[in-house]
Amino acid sequence: MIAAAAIRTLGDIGDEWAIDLLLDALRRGRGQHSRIAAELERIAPAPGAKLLPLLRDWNPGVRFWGATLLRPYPELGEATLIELTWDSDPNVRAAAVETLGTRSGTAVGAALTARLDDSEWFVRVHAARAAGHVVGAAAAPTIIRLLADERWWVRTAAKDALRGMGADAVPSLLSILAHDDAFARNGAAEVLQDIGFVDFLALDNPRSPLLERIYEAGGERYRLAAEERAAEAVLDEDVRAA
Amino acid sequence: MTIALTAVVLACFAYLLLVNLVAAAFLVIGAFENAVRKHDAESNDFATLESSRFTIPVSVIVAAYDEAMVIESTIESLLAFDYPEFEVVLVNDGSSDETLERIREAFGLVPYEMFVRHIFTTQPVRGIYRSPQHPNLVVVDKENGGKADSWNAALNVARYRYVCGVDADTVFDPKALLVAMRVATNDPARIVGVTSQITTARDPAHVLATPVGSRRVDGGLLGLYQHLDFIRAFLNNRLAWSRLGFMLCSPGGFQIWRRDVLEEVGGYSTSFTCEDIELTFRIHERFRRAGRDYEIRCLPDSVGVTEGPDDVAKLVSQRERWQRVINETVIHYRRMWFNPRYGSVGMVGAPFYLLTEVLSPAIELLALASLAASVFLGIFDLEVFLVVVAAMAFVNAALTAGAILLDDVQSRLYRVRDLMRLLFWAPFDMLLYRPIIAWARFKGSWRFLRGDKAWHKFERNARAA
Repeated sequence: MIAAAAIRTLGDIGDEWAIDLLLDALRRGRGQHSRIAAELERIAPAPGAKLLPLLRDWNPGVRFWGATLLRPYPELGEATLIELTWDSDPNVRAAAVETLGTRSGTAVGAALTARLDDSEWFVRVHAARAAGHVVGAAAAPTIIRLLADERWWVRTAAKDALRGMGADAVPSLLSILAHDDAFARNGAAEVLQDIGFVDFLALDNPRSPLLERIYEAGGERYRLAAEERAAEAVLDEDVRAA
Repeated sequence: MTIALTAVVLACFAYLLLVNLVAAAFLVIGAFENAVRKHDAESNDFATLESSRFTIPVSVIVAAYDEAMVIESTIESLLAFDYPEFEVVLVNDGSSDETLERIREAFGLVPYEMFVRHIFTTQPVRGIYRSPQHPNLVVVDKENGGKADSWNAALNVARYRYVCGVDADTVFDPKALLVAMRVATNDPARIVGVTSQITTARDPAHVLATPVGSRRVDGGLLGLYQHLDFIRAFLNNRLAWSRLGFMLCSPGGFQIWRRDVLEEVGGYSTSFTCEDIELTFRIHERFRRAGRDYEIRCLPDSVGVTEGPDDVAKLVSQRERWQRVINETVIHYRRMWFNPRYGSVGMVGAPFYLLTEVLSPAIELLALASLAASVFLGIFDLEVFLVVVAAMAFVNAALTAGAILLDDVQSRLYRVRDLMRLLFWAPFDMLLYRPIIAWARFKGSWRFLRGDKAWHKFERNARAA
């Protein structure tokens, strides 16, 4: 409790001295790390370059927080963060991947794509989201494999990433509508629904064989939901026209 | 005959003395825990946490069955949480009224299919809806299967690491999640469950809309006594249980669990009349048996207001159900009674429940009958009887006053006039309220013995327009 009050007070003070003390507390494991991190993120002037030594700390817990806290500083520590995507500690790899997910560039994209095959499922979760954001549609054919991942959370993250790509992901999504894995099939159908592709087809060409393929991948309830949305959209248009 | 009657009366008196002594000890421990939690809350920087990405996302799950009258305000209250990342998963449990239609209209729901992991088997899902205006709202429409079944269906859809189960008739303070999740954020490896104080009112939304410091105790005398019952349950009992490591009842109105723990223990059980207390017992049982380090914590902060019955018949119906579920659970987990393997849960918590909850209807009935017979037969005279009743009322009122004090120290929610009103009426609890509760508990125990597991949902209170 005293540590919590001290962390809060240092956050309120917010000068260079307070930043040094908070970083020291982070290194020495004093107080709750998440509270220290929250204070470091609200301090102005921001700690910025003072976070870089954390990335080289012997303690993986400190490297983790270093990588996490670097997120608001896109100009700092890119090379080290890329190195950390190969760290022996999976939490550090996940944090580095998450932070790199807010950046851009070929080297970053390559590092993130490599982590889509990480042995730890939660690193793959972060890699799917980050690669979707940084690499975009070019990563779709790789991310789409993760719809059939052995871990549920990876599949969900892959769906999120593909959803974020919007229409650019459509060719990859259509390519797995006949996949052996049921979740890969209906996961693709779900993303096509969420990005509005199904509604577009249902209104534009309701008898399209492509729409029928998507409905097959999604199942009966999926079809009924899509048809109900289409009917409501037609009704809305009629109301507007009237 | 005289000796036997005297022995029974004295045994009952000893029971009352023991229960009240334990209650007084819990009040003292609760006062300490209340002070610790108050300082802890004050040392937290909620303004920073409110927008921090280092909080843990939460899935709020809620089951609704025939809640058309309150569902809109419930969802609005849930969507208004001041918390960086959360979702609301509402399950319409095959309502026979217009619950789903009301939600569809109010939140512009659109049918969308979601392919989710079926961790728990539930009644068939009829459809899933999302709201374009509120991307963090998911509504699942399913066949009727009860609250536990609905919460399991919500768990299948929920995305986040912590799950907060709430009741559809409870309205929350916007800071509720932030306040409760602070302890989980600080120690997610150890904190598997959190609950916090909820109070009761006839019209929760109206009460919660009143500013802090000006709140009234809503609902007449019946409401007042239910309010006292709730604050005693939280501040006299659960705070102490939490401190002593046997928080045995995370109430269904507001219970946060780590999702992996819910998955590990198999989710909410549909085999009991009600799911909240049984789940808490099950989690304790699992962790204690495996010798794992964990904590289920109760906080004194008032996070919401739930609807209390506004007439005696509804109150009896609610409390007899509570009695049944306590009996079902405590007896189901009888292997924990006085078993040192389960630590304080086995040695104090479960026996306390057995003594004060399961056996008390029978002991109360026995005490009443033996005392009346003793007075009738002249073993004790009426004066002794009245002195005993007055002493019990005094002890009861003192414990209640302690709870009122702790609550006021913690929250300063209520007007002084209402606090005075609570203190004034507290001693009459023995005469005006306890007999109703005793009757409900007796009825619940009787129904338990007959194997009744029905919910007996009471009608919602009429609201002012």
